Amino acid sequence: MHERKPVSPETLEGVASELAGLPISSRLAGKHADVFEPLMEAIETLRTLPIKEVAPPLVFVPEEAQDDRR
Amino acid sequence: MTDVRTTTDVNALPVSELGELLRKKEVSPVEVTKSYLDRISEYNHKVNAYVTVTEDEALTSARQAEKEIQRGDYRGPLHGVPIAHKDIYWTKGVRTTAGSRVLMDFVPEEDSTVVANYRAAGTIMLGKLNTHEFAYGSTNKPSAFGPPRNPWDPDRQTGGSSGGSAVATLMSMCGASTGSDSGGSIRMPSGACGTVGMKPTYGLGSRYGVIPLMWTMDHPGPITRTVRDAALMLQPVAGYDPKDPTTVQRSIPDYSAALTGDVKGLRVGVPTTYFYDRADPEVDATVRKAVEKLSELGAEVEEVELPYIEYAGAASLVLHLAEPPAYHDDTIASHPELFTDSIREQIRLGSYILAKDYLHAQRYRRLLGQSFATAFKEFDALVTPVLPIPATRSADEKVIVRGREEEVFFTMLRNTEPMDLTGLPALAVPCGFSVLGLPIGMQIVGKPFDEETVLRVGDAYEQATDWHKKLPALLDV
Repeated sequence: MHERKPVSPETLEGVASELAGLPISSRLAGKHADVFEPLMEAIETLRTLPIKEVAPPLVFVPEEAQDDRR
Repeated sequence: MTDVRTTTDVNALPVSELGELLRKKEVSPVEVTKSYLDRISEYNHKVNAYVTVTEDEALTSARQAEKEIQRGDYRGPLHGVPIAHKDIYWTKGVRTTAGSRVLMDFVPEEDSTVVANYRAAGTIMLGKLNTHEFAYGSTNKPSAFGPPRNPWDPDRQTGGSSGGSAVATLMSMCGASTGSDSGGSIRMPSGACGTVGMKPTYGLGSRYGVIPLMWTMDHPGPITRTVRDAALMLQPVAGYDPKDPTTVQRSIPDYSAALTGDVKGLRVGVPTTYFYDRADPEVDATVRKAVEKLSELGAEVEEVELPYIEYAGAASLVLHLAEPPAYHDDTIASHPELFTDSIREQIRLGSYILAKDYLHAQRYRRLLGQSFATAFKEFDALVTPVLPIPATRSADEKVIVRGREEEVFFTMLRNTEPMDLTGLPALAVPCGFSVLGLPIGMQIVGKPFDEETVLRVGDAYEQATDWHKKLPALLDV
């Protein structure tokens, strides 16, 4: 069972700077945390869905040149 | 509100009637185009629907259409009809800004496939229409050009992201318009402004040359004043495009031929949860009256359950936060100041979405699709309110619905986003007004690629009612 701690400004500041390459100020990280925590509460409900055997509908088709297609 | 549309101006006519007059040479494309350009001059400063008006190009095209029709080179029911395009569709030689300073100087070198198809059908392009910046929202408030204004109450938002398209169409500032829909952006402004909006099945229309919001959820489609016009305007959208690998190869029907007016025996489902019970009570009651009208017309109406529908908001949220930031990754790093404040922050929030949650959301789409597919074994169409609430005041970020405070941004999306998640065809049709005189609309949902049934139901309802003929007092006809 997932157990998630509330989103912290420090975490978001680190993610933005160290992973995304889009650094933000501590003040903005605080604002983001206030906005993002309720969003995460909604998002994490998806983790409880019965989708073990459900594949994502993302289809990959190998690229081929137009004149190679038959 | 002004009662029934009574003006004799050609620009007030539905496209279906205007097209007939043009075909019979009873009116000239040049005369019609000038009439719309006059309308734009008169009203655009009040409603801010257009961001670019292409007067010279429109008149040149109109003269060309006139010559063609006169000599018998008739292209079809849209020949000579002036329309306008949401400013995310590439238009050759005409700037395409997506409502953003990021693209203020972007002039495409080619048309999008949809625009090219409309030109081939003989339409006249009047200009480009205001949009929520990069189509990334439900209100059209953040735009480099400022928001459009709701003609029913200029202090209220228009819905988005195709707000300019809905306003221009309602105000007869074009015959019809194009919009795009990734969470409801054709249907939400249609609901808020009282127009008809058609989101086709995902893959029916080409996204080539449409500036992307979300690759897996974007749908091109028309906004019109009548359902009959929606059928006409859907025709050039539909069809396989080798430039867009998500388009499907299937034969395209004549959508207008489906408008028989007959819904006898058609099985219509009313979802038991989510769409009505979380809507404003006035909206709930108004749309249920519309469903009763369908029943009077001979449709068989019953309730239907949609398992897992309650997770639609969460899944849509993840996809909306994950996909657009990937597209804007370079610009947000190099020129963040060019975005409006709210869009800049929305893009930044995308950095925090985990890949596993993105994939959970995509897998949920199959789960929800199965719920709808099961429902469609018993029903031909489902009907819901298109918006849970009438248009809110532009200054309001929150709204109280059934005693609960909600964010307007998310409430607006609630009823439309499941149809983007599942890719199902969905049509917004006006079906009444609130006590404050604001439009209320219903949403008719169909099986994949069954736009014909969706349009038939909408047209039958429209023929039996007058809502689509009401005009806001601002129009002063």
